[in-house]
Amino acid sequence: MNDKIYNIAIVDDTKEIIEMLSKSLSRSNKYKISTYSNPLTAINNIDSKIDVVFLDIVMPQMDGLEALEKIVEKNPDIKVIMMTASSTLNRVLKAHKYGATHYIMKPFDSMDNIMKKLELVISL
Amino acid sequence: MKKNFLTFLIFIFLEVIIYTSLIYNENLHINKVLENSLHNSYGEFKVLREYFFEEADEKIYSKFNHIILLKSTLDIKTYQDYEKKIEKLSKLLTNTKELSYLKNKEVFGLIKNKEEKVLLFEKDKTIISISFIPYFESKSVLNYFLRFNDQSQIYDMKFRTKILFLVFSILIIILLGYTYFIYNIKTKLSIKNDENEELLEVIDKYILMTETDKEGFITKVSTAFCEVTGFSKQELIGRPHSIIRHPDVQRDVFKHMWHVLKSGETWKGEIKNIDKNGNIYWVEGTIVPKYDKDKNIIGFLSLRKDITDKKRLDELNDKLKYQIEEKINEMEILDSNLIQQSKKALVGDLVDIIAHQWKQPLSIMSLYAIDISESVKYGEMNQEYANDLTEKFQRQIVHLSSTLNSFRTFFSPSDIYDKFTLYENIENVLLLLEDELKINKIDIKIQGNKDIKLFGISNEFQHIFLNFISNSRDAFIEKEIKNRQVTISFFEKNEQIQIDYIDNAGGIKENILHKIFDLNFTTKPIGLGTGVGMYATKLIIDKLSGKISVNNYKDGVNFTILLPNKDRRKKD
Repeated sequence: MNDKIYNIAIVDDTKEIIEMLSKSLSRSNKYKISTYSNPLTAINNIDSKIDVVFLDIVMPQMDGLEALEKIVEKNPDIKVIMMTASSTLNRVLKAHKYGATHYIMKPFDSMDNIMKKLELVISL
Repeated sequence: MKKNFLTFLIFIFLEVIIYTSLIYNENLHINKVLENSLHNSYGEFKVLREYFFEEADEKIYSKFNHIILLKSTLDIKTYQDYEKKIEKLSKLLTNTKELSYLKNKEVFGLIKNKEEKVLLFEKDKTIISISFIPYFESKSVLNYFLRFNDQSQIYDMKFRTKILFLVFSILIIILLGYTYFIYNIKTKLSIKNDENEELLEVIDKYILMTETDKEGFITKVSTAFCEVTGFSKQELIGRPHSIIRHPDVQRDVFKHMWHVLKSGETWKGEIKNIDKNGNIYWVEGTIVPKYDKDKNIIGFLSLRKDITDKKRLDELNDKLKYQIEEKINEMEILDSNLIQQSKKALVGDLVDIIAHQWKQPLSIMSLYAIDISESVKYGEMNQEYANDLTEKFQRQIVHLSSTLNSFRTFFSPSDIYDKFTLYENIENVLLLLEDELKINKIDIKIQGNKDIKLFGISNEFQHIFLNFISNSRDAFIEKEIKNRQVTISFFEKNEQIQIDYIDNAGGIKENILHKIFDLNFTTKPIGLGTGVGMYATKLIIDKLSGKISVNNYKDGVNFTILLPNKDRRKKD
């Protein structure tokens, strides 16, 4: 493990999730977190500085898959972890085609799992 | 017309008879005067009737020395007549010394052995016979034979005949006129009598008529009344009218009837009676008091109409009405069950929706749970932090609970009619569907006066919108529509509230558009549609005395709901 600080973006329309997820991730001091509650601003602001994006699959302003497509199009090397509920699991497969790297399930089970998946994605 | 002609004929006939008899009488008189007069002048003298010449015994002729024939006697009409008369004449001539005939004012001698010779009449010769003198000849004869004195007698007679004739004629006219008048009256009377008799017969046969004395004892009954009551006339007459009274009818009814009748007024009403065999029959009766000359009540006349059939019909109608009401109630229960069924049909959808609704707070709560261990791990946990986290937890739990409540409210079969705000009602539905709309990117706009209130069952009304939106969502997905728009607008118009639901989900095929409110009609694939939703929607609208219609509008469908605005409080 190197000491590099990774730039992480969280895109979710629920402010509590943004708040809690960023809080938990920033505790390890390994990640610099930026958050977006609107996918449209996220698309405009996310650039190559961002290493990993946590992207909610269901948002009112824009579909998560559409946002994914736009983000990946703009930053081909970016890694995206889709946040999905069981009911939208089938869309994860689609998300993979669109360029998503991994996914985590909502509700979240443990921080360890999230961290593991994040580290795995970074290591890819 | 015929009668008039007959009267005229009778008149003529009587006139002729009178005239003839008068003339005959006059002639007899004239003959007598003539006989007397001639007798005085010429000795034995006989005036014979006209037929003498034809029929008189020949022996009679021989008695006479001189025969004067009047013109009419010799009036020959046919040849046979002539032969006959000539024969007679010849016989006369053999026996009679002289034969004369009268011509104008002269008497001429006549005929000797079939040869016509004019013989002058000689006054000194005895005239022994003269035939009946016809009226038209009398004057000349009289002038010739009679003295002035005798003549005046004749003229008196003639005048009397004329007067008599006039008098008789007038009498006949009066008599005939009177007869005719009497006849007419009699005819009319007899027609009227016939009519009356017929009427009485009809009354007797068909009208339930009774007459009573003033104490209510029967004095007269019609046959029809006997038939209906089963009593004979003998059994009824002299008995009190209460014999047909049904025990169920309250005494007050009769008390009131007697009060009305005794005060001299007419009583009218329907009354239940009982016949001899205990069968019930209904009559509609009119009872009027009868008076004597001094206007004292002497009894009552009652006319009744059997209305048993009508009453039975009424009963039947009531029964039918009751049965129909029952059926309607059953239908209503069935319909309300259908509304419930329709709600249940949405259960699958709603469970999904609940899952979506809950997903977010559950996700948040999962992060809070994670944070407990994480904060401890990083030494951040203290009382303050724990309190904060608990509060955050509580907030999510309240959210979960309220979501559940709104679903429970939606599913509970409610029949509470109340005022509710239309806007809030729609907002609640959108709240229920929040995530569903988010996932499917359906944009719903609500336009309208936020103060508009409706009267009905609030959760039933939510059902309408839930059903609309659910259908739109399915159509959006099925047809892969990109820009998904729904507009719900409502406004007051002419004491009505109009609600328009418009989507752009491609609309409904025109050929099935009119069927979508039918029960068990669905456009969805087998197993997916229940065919209840739109029917239930219509039922709910019907219950509010409203109307729902559907049209294709632009690239979607437009449901229009019209509801009466003022006081839609349901009566029951």
